[in-house]
Amino acid sequence: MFWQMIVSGLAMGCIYALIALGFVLIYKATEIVNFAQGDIMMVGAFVAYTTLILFHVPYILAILMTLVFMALFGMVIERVLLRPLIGEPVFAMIMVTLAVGILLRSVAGMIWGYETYRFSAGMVDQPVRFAGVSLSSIHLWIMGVTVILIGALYFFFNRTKMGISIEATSQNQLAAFLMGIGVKRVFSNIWAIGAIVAAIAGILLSPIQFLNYNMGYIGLKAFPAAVLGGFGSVPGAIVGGIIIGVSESLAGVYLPGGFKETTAWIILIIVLLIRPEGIFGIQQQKRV
Amino acid sequence: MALLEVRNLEVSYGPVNVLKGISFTIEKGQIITILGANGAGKTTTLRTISGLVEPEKGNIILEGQEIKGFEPDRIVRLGISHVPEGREVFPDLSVYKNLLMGAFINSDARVVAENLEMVYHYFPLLRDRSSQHAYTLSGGEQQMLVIGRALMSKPKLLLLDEPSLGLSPKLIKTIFGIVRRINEEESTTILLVEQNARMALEVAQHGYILEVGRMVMDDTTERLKQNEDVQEFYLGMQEHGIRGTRRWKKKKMWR
Repeated sequence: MFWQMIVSGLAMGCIYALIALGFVLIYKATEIVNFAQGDIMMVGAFVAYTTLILFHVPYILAILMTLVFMALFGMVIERVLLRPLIGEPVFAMIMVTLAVGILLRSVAGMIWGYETYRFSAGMVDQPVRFAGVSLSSIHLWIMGVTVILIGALYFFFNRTKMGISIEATSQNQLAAFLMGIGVKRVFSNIWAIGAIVAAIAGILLSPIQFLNYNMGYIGLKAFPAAVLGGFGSVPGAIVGGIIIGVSESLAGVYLPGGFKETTAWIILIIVLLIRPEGIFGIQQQKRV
Repeated sequence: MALLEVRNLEVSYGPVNVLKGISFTIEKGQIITILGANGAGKTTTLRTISGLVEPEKGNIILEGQEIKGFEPDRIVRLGISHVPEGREVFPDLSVYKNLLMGAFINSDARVVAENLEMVYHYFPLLRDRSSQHAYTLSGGEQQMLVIGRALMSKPKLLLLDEPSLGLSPKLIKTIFGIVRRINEEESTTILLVEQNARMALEVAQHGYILEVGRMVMDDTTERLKQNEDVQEFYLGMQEHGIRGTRRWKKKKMWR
């Protein structure tokens, strides 16, 4: 029982980690906290559902189409709603992302309705026995895909020119401008990446949580995961997500009812009391 | 044809008029320097040339082409590389990746490798430090890194903003020595903005003196060094006499 809870916690933690990663990537590059991340995830899941189930597109192609669509979707949000606000207070942009979240939720309700769908996203749920413990194959799928995605992102941000230039822009925007890096294009790219990561999180989440226009609220639990790890730290987001996923899963079994939903916030408060900059956070070291 | 020609450039930050119509030209292969006190508008001049600041009036002409109002990345592509004041490195990237970003506009791997060798040739220290994070470098090493990074795009014109800021006299000498070598060996034209007038007049061939948004003097550095006012206010040489009143009078005469 204990190990099963750990594994299902890890799987849920992976999803929190992916959403938190979306928060962190966009924040690092643009200094905007994108509160619509959870709802972008929901849109991604619904687009996958539409292509796969409603239009019967073959699996791989459907997923690819979803990811391409979501990349464009992220770029459009950045281009249309946030770029005109460059130079305005960051607070204004964060309010815009909140509004985008609400908007997406209601538009999704209008398009796909308010009922809950069952959507396995092509993943088969069958018990897998491993070292005497019975695990769900979906949980293993989720962990596997997350590990691959994180590996791919690591490669992109450390080895490719475009990835390094995004990293560079997030570290020193002035210098990036002077290197000839198109900072506007970097913003656009990072929103595309954020939306792709969100869509993958949504596709992975659907089989364990059902598909619903409200599923984006899970972003509210991924947000403490990002803060926990030290907002702005990629490894922090992953570790934070996993801590919250696992502890939530254990709290659901070993603690009285109601604790499952609040664990994320309790852990967040405790960590912030001990280490205000988060687990992997570094004190802001901006030079004047 | 001059490499760069700036005509009647006017720049304001809101209501504050920073540049009140300055003009100057840079010939190919020259090192020219703009001297001036704090707030004279030196940094603004460079930022306007590299496209970070939009001018209100005037022209910036690079090899006969008007580049005023271009985006910074387009200006870099045209061959102007700007080393900003205050060592703006990418702190969490390695020295090597910092240099790689300097060649962002160049996608030919062979040329990038060649330029990297050239940078390592002038700054051998960067080769030794290539895998270190840039924030671990000392001030002088960071200054070398940002100059090296700017050279990675093999610019026609290098804009240097206060490379001596906060460095020891010995390091300043080293860096200016390298700047001069780059000018001679790579035939890179250099526009140097400095408060360290002595050093700047030493390396440059032509100098401009900027005072609160206006060019007040323009001559070869040989003649500037002989000029009484330059000697007193920029090189700190003193004559006997009541200095306070002299200063005021001379400054009045300049405008």
